[in-house]
Amino acid sequence: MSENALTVLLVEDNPGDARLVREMLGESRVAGFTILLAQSLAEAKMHMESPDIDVVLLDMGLPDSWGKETIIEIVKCLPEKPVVVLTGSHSEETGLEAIKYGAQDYLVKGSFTPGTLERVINYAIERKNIAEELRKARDREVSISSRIQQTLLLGTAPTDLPWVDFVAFTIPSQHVDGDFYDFIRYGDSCVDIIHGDVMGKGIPAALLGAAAKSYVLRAHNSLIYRHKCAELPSPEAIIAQVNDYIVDELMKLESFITLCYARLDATAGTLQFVDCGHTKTIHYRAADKSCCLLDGTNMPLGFSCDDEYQAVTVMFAPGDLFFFYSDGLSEARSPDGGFFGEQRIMDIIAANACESAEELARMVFYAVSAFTGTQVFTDDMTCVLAAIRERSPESQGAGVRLKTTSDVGELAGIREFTGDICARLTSPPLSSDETAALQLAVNEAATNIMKHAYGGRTDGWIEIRVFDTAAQLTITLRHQGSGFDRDAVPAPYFDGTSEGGFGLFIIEQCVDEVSYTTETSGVHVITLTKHKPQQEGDDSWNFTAKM
Amino acid sequence: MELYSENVGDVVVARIKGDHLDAGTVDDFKAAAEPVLEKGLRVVFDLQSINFVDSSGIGAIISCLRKLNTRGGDLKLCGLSRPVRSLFELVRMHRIFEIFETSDEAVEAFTRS
Repeated sequence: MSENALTVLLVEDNPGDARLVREMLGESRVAGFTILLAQSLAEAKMHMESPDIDVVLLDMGLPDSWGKETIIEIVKCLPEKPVVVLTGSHSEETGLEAIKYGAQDYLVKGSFTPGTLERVINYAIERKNIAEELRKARDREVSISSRIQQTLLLGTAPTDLPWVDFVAFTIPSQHVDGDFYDFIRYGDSCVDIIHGDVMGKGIPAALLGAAAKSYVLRAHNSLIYRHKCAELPSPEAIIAQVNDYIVDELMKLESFITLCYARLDATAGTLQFVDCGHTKTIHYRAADKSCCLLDGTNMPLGFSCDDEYQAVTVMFAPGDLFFFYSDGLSEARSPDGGFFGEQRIMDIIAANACESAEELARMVFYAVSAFTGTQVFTDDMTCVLAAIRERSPESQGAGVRLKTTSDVGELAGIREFTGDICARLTSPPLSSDETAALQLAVNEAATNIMKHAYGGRTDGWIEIRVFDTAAQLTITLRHQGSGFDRDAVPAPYFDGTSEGGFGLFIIEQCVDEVSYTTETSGVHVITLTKHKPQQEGDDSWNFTAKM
Repeated sequence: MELYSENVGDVVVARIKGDHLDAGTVDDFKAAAEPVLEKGLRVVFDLQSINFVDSSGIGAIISCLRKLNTRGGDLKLCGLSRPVRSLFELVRMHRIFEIFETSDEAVEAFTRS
């Protein structure tokens, strides 16, 4: 027996057939063969630990197993061994089926010569070696990709903000995609969330994603420098700058990036976002326990050099949720080809919004696994969940929120509420003049809602919310009366001839910022912002991006 | 909302009884002010008890001034608390009204003229 003798595991219950194979292998001229005989599947399995087996010759019809099940079982037990199936049938289909289930080749009993048998065995071994090399190379790519993903594509969510919980998670597919996300934090009250997806797959997409993510930070730094830290660069300015950096590369590579850049501002109670052809962010509103999709109008990055980007602002309240996700989730397919879809995600969120953010994320994963019938997906699913915390009863106090009717008789109560809030502010407190000015501004805004938005009706509602940070105090007045165009109201005369029209002027004099917005739900919001004097060493505007 | 008025010579001094003059109380104020304005052409509003006035309130006071002006009369104010005074200054009505600390000073200003 020569040194390079091959060990054949012959799985065959028919003694005649087994003898025939033995004889044929004995006649082989080049390499000698060592033959191990197994007469059943169970017996074959006893050899599965043996490292010496070079090839399995398998009869599909055994006393304890039949047909394709035999191949599936053997391939499972000996995944690294080449398998050649011996079929008694002349049908090509049986042979091809065998290959589909993991065999390297097949032979029809009684129709092969010793030479054919030897060649088939050698080819099967060679083919299996190549397949193994390929598999290892693929594994290496997956491992490199997943390292790229973990280190370059996925940022770290802030965990210590008192008003929001983030859960960011990836359900990796077999191949890496260019999904990425990042968080940029400003002090305690404002966080930018970047969630993007590069068209394409594999390492090129992953590298583009990593590039895009770093370009966001670069755009950020450049714009902050330009503004001399006086104000935060707007999401639309950041995105325009990022597109400027990356558009040429993307066009050269014939790729593009969809992305949502969202700024979550606790002080204003707003999410301001620039959507560039990305999946539509889901907004769960605690107030009406329902979800809506946030629509954007911008093109993906890489489509055009001089795109103008537009931001959309929505208000949020304690208990609200924002869910950002890649199309790997919304376009996950069931075995019959249907999409998982946005509606299912919204239904899960709306039904389980009271759960913790982690639990909610798990539920989404369970649901998509159940829908697709697998836990191995063709696309990465990258999700970021931002859950605005409910205020605890202690921090809520007597009224961080006040809801009243649109009756002008409520104004005294509204002023008292405002004064009470100002008195309870911690750092730094407002002076009595500042408090009076704020009471006046809120009073005027509420009066306008009562008299104009509700047209004097007393059965409307007004909700007042207060957001306090070290940098500013923000008061929002929400209502469902008619909307309002500030520019349509002329300035009053100050010569004694005007008896009205002072309200808006007073508001604008009493606070630093006034804005009039409308939420997608149709609720109108007047936002009054009063900046607090900045103390030395105040770091609330410091740029603290985390990589 | 009530106005207690008394005549000091030919000056009508009206003390406005109430805590605040806003959109919720302004109609009462207007109704109460109407007969007071009929009592004379020289009127003083004493706002001593009023802690808060908003744009509706200031509009109503301007309206009283204009009514008196059209009849050749005048309205002076006194007893403005700090936030009320601030509002008058904010909408520049301190240039339209003569404002005094006390009703005596306001009455005296009328009798001098």
